[in-house]
Amino acid sequence: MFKEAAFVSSASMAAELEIVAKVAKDMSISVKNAKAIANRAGAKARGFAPITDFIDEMSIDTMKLVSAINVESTTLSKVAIAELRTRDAFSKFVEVKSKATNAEFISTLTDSIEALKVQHNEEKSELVRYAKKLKSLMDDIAQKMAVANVIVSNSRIEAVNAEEYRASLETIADDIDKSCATIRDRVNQSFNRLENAMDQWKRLATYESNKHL
Amino acid sequence: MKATNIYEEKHKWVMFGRDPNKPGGIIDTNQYLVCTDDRAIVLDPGGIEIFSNMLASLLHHVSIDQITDLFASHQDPDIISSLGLWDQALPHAKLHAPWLWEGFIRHFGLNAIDYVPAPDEGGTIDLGGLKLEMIPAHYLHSSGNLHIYDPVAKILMSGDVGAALEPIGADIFVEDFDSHIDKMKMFHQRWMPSNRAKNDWVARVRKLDVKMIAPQHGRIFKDENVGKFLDWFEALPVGTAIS
Repeated sequence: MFKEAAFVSSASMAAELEIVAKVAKDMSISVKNAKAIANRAGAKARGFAPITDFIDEMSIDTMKLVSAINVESTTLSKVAIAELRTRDAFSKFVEVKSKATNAEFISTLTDSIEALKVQHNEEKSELVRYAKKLKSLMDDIAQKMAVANVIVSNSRIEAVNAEEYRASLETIADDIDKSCATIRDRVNQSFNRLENAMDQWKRLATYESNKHL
Repeated sequence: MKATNIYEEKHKWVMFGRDPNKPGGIIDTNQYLVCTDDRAIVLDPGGIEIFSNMLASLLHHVSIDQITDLFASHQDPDIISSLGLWDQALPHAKLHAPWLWEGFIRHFGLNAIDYVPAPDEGGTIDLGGLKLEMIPAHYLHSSGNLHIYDPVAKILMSGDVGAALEPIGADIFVEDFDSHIDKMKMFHQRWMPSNRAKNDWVARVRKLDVKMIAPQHGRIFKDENVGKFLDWFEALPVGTAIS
């Protein structure tokens, strides 16, 4: 369970997922090795070739997804900071209003408060929009990893028939398995961070709506 | 926050400070409002911690639309760290501050307000006919530092020069200059780095017709205490942290 502030969570996601891109790249290299071995093994590793093609494609797709997540999470982080600042300004302005009820010119602050409220609502909508987009991108990676699990199991079965190439192909299958586990773990961490941030924004929206802010 | 009219004729000067509700541990500051019939400028508007009390106090004197200008004598947080909030409150305002600090002050958050970089030699802020002069006060204490002189009211807003460290309930004006020295001696000797800069400033101010020196901390000097302060400051060795 994350206890960190929402804007920290959103800022941490990009850094966390950068490692995923590196692992996906390593995975792509492992798959290319597997392909070379499968070619040498010829008929003994016939079933291995389509598997390596699939994993290669998947690792490239994962890198692309991580790159898209990077862009979205950086934007989300910027919006989260802007929202935080607007929220702070808004609460300060409301404080001014309550402190200066009898001030001659207090009514002149109304337009500024209204403008801030509009800006704050826009930023809150943006947060939800970017967070949903990120969630969907992370879901895509998670799905790819689930499929990869099945494929790696198949590759182990294929490796059994590869006779003298079996040990090399099994090692590669293990490497890919480990890479998938790392990616799953990192994506889960980021997902939890995103959920934490979204939960805080949701609770804040409920609080503001109860307070009629 | 206490508000005191220190000058009121065709235009007005109000000093804000001695805030009993300010959070503990932060230095007490004086903020100044200069307003004409339709324009107003806030001089050294203060830190983020006092923003809500400051704006609440200002609205007793001027409307939000009337505040068209802000002035920051230098870059310190107690001077202008509230900028990000003023930027939301006064999106059409101008901030006059030393050119040297533009890239630094913008770190406080500046999107809407227009930063007007003041040159080293100072210049004029035209407040709808009332011309306020920016007077160079570099290295006192900041390396890019300006003060505001109002030739009509004959008030010099002197930033950290003339500052004193005092409890929150201190009087607004210096009454007994000699007993006030203890409250400002260390401040000037430790915060002001250059005797040459100090003497240059004293010579510059002696050429002006000043009835009041209004610092950003502590009490205001008026009438004969203006001269006493200039004499005292001129004779004071500063930059004492280097022996």
